[in-house]
Amino acid sequence: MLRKLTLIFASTYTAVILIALIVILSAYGTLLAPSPEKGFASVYASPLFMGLFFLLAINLILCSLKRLPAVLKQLLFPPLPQNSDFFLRQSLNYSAEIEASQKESFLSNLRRLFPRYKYSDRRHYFIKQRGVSHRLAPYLIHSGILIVLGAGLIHFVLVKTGYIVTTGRIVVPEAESVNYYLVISDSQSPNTASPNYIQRPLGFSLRCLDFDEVKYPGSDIPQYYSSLVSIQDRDVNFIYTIDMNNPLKWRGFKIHQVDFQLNPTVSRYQIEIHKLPEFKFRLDVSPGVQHPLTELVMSKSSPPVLNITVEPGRKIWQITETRENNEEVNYSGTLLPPPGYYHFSISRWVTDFRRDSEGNVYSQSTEFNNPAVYITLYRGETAMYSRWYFWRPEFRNFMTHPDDPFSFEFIDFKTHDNDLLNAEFKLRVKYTLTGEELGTYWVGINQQQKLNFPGIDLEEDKQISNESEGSVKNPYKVYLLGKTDGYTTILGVVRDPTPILIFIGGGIISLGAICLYFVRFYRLIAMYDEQESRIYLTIITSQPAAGIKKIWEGLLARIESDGGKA
Amino acid sequence: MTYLSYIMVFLLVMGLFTGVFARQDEEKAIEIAKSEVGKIAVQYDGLIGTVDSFAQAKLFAISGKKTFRSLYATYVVLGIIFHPERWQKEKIIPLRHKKLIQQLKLQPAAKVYLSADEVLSKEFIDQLRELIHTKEDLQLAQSAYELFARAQQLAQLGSEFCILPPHNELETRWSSPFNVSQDALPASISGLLKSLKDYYEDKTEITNVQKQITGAIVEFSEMYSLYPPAWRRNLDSFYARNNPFQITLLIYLCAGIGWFVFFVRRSRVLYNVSLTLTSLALIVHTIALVMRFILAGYIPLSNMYESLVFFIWAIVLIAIIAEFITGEKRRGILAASATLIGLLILITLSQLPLSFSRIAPLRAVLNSSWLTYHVITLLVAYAAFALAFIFSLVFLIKDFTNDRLLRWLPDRSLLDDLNYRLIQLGWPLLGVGILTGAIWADTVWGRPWSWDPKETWSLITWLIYAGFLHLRIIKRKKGRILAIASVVGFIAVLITWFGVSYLKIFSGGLHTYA
Repeated sequence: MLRKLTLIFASTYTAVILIALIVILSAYGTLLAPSPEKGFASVYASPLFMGLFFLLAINLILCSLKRLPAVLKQLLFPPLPQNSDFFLRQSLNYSAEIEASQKESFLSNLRRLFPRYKYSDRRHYFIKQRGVSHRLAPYLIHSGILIVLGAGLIHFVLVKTGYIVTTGRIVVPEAESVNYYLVISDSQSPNTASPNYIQRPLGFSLRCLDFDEVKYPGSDIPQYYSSLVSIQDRDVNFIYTIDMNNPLKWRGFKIHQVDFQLNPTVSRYQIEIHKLPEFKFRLDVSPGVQHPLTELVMSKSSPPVLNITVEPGRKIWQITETRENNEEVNYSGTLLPPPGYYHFSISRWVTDFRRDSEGNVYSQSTEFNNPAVYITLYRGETAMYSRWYFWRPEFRNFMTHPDDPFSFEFIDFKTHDNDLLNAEFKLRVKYTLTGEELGTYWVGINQQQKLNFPGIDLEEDKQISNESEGSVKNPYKVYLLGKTDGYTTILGVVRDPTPILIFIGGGIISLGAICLYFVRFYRLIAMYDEQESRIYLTIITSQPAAGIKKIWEGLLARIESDGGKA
Repeated sequence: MTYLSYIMVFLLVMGLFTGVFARQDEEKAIEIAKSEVGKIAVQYDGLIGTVDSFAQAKLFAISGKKTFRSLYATYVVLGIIFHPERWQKEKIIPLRHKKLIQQLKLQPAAKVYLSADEVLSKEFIDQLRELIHTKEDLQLAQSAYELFARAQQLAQLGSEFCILPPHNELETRWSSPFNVSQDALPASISGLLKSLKDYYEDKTEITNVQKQITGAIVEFSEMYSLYPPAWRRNLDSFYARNNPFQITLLIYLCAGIGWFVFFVRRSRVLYNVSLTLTSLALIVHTIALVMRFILAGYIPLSNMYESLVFFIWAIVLIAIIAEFITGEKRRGILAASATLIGLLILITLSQLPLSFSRIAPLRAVLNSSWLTYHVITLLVAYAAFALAFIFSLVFLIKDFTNDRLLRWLPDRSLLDDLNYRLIQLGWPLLGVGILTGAIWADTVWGRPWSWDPKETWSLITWLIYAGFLHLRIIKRKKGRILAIASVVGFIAVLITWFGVSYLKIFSGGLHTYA
């Protein structure tokens, strides 16, 4: 019975049937399932599906065990033909008489051409094999598949024990730290924190220093997302940038960028730091978080090592400058209004403000239910920020930006001949940091309006900076350019040691497939019969291709030049 | 004179007037096409292109077409920007949704064109407002919103005409001259804008515009050291105007005719001519791919259009290499089949809208070198499978019909052999493609395998071809059964490649962009 079962499972037909069943069930999973998760649960994690893979594994082992010993024996100890008939039966064969005077030199030449030699029963055998990997390739492929299946089995067992984590999430706002990750028991995508989540310890602390959502310039198309995190693990402390194609691997966890949310409770200040005449930096900072100053705008010499912290809610900054002798010098001050010349323009307006689920703003009617204008503030020719401002007093507090250096109040509007494209808007502008009113303006669409605000002249700025040079005075000036909402980054957490096995298995399968199809196997056998004084030669190959003929012809030419006569 | 005569004279005058107007448009469009205005750099939709590519994209967004009344897109779009008084009255915005046409009480009922002025008029907006928010018919609401969006896009095109580069190399956002203070504009740029406005209002000649363009480009280059050089702007403009893949299509068409004649009347000369034409098409195809690579800034493998174009390139390359190393009796079969496949796909692609073929910024998740390894190996594998499928199909047709008319086609043993050898090539490459995909997925999604429909169907495809190879190598099967297996395998390839992405019976999955 066992022998019969073994024979059945060692059959190629069984393999083909098992593969067919796996194919059908896999296809069924993709058709039936309304989502990959449910498909996975109902089909790919079912005992039937796993059972088929188990049977396939047995089939592969038995098939290999059945055939591999014979193949190895043939490769290690190639069978020696006992007579000349063997050679004459082959499609490529050669026979030649060797003159007695040339016998010794001929045979010694053959010994050089053929690595293996054996003498038996007055016959000299010469053997040369090439492309052994081709003959072993099916077993390489099978062993690769077995490693992948074994990895699957280990994965299944470790998931049951709870060691493997595949759907963990870290949800952390900018400037905050966590030392745990979240998991849920069902297979729903855990993109947000909710009471159903279970907290599990990470074993170290992860702090989100900054989340970057970079869009292609001039569009809303995301170019990349990345989280600048700091890891604090006992005595180890380092900073790492996690992005979509660059996960962090730490203590068995793989932490990768999954998603993000806008977080209005966290602010990000856009600031510009001047240490004129040498350096100018510009960056976004999260209040309370120490940022290295790397985003250099202007530098006349090698910049100093600097870190800046802006205190939350107080508009006070502190810069730590590390000098060449590792001495740390601290400077502090308040955020200043930015220097330069300011103007604004209205590029869009809507009569009845509406925003769809993708964030696109449109007018839901031509009634003046909720008029809103889209204002862009420019510093020089550079757009600092764009905001929607609302006419109805009850909406004016909607989407406010209290830390913007300038605030706009949309007071009134008028249209000419009911032409919506030909409208003018009355706006009152304030300088937020001092509360100073800068004026009231009537502005049309796409019309530039200069602000009656001198700011601080750059020349004056330079002068102040020069004055402070060489003294203990504060050489830094930090300007607040604007403020945006912060982010909460959502990171995926995976703890799974099995992928490496899958990659090894996959690599072996690929290697096997390459050896099988791109390596040529052949075995050249030569026999010199002392009784007949003749040399017999043949080539055995599984690929009777043009390349083999070339090898054969090359060898014959060599033998004939050495004294063989066909 | 009778009333009829008055009407006739009126119609004649109107006809002449319209004719003159149309002819003026055509002449001016040619003048604009010949000028350098299309080669001014513009930032739009996350790309830095030229006025030519910008105009094509925007005209498509407004009208759903690449041209308007056969007028060159750049001429139309610059008209919208510089002469809005006229162009906002042009019936350029299409409306095809029959129910929406009925609801808006427009005539004719089948398809209408509207002007921006019509759509943005108070009465029309009042009608659209209710339709946009209708809950009963979401498709109607969507069409109403699309109509509104097209009109709004047309009315605000000036704000999107971002030809002003930033002053600072660290800034990346360009601006529209209509969004900045006119006083702050350098004289050469305001001169260009004025000359274009005058040109569209028939107050100046194109030569004046041309003079201003030269000065403005010098000014832009001085303003911004990263301003695209002339060769790049010329390349972008050439690509937008000519679509090099259409040129490739024409050469493939000539090669296809050559191969057909070769199979009917076999001769060495015809073979050489056809192979030369296919090789020429491949060279032009390669140049087109390189152009797209330069303009997009990434290897063009990021969407269905790019993958299909690369697939054709791979299939023709495999076929031409095979032509040089294969035996006399196989001559022409591979190259002809590859040409046929390439031709069919390129003709299909040429009929698809611009949104399918236009260059777009690379999606964040695809910004990885694994994209190249993963997609190239898979596409070369698919190319081999597609050729094997063609040979299997011909084999089966010959096998079942035994028609004398098909004697000009290769004999069955040759087809069987080619089928096997191509699958021998494709199967390991498919395996490597799946493996590279798994490594990439492990990086991006944290796990190498998710039983996502695309992953699952790629495994199914690999298993089907593994079964094929076992039947051939271990069981020494040949002929019909292997031809059927090859056809089944290629159906699995098609499901993996297209079915999973476009058929609703499959659940979404992670490969939504592929």
